[in-house]
Amino acid sequence: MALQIYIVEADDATYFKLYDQTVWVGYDHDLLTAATLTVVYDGTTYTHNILAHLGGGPVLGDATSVNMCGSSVNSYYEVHPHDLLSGSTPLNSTYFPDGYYDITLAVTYNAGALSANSTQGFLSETYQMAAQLPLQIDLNNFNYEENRLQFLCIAMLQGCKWAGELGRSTQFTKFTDKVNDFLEARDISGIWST
Amino acid sequence: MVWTSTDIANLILVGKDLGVHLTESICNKLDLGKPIGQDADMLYLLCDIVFALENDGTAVFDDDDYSYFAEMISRIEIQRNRFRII
Repeated sequence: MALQIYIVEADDATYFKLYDQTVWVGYDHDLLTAATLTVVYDGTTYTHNILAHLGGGPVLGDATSVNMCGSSVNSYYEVHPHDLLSGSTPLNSTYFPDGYYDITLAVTYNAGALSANSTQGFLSETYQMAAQLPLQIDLNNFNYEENRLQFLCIAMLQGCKWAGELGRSTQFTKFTDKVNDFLEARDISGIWST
Repeated sequence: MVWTSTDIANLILVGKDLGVHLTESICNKLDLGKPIGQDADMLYLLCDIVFALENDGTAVFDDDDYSYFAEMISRIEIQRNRFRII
């Protein structure tokens, strides 16, 4: 069996959705004895004990299936920034700062260790900042060059996201810096980080 | 060619990988004050292709369509190599 996860950041960055895409049919939930999420952000490692959060005992499911994130294929487990701890220090109190996240789910099933990794570029705040770009277009004095640059900025944001998904942390940082320079040059400031 | 879900997932990864290279090229050209026209156009098209492939929830595409997407990505790669400065 291969453990498979899928991560989606909430639009308001207050949590991310953890989807468990593992095929658990035929596995007994009683034998899943550990499930820990590890997140590396900005050089610091944070952990979250999913099993303890779900009540300390076996995760949801029955003798023939494990439903760690819920019974439906669309079910997900919400991970909030205050759930992730480095020692006793949470990653953040309210939102996930934009940046590169290396996320690993490790489980112990029937005394065997399994893990799945996903790298992500969290960009909710930058997306909301970039959403303000069209407001700078004057319909009565249309600036085609500015319009073209704004379109490029949105395309580069896609590049940022793809770099995150592909684990290219250096390029992710380089691209996000460029996009943020572009936004700052237009006096668009952070939504919740400032 | 018969396109499987694995083939399509791999094609999306190839498209995203190429998109990262194009975005890097654009960043470098912006830093150098060089024109970015070709790279920007290719990135726009690539965004459209990846968007199409990732949002094919109703299976609107047939095997010929996927082959065409793959050919477009291949052509963009060739164009990128022709115009890149790094």
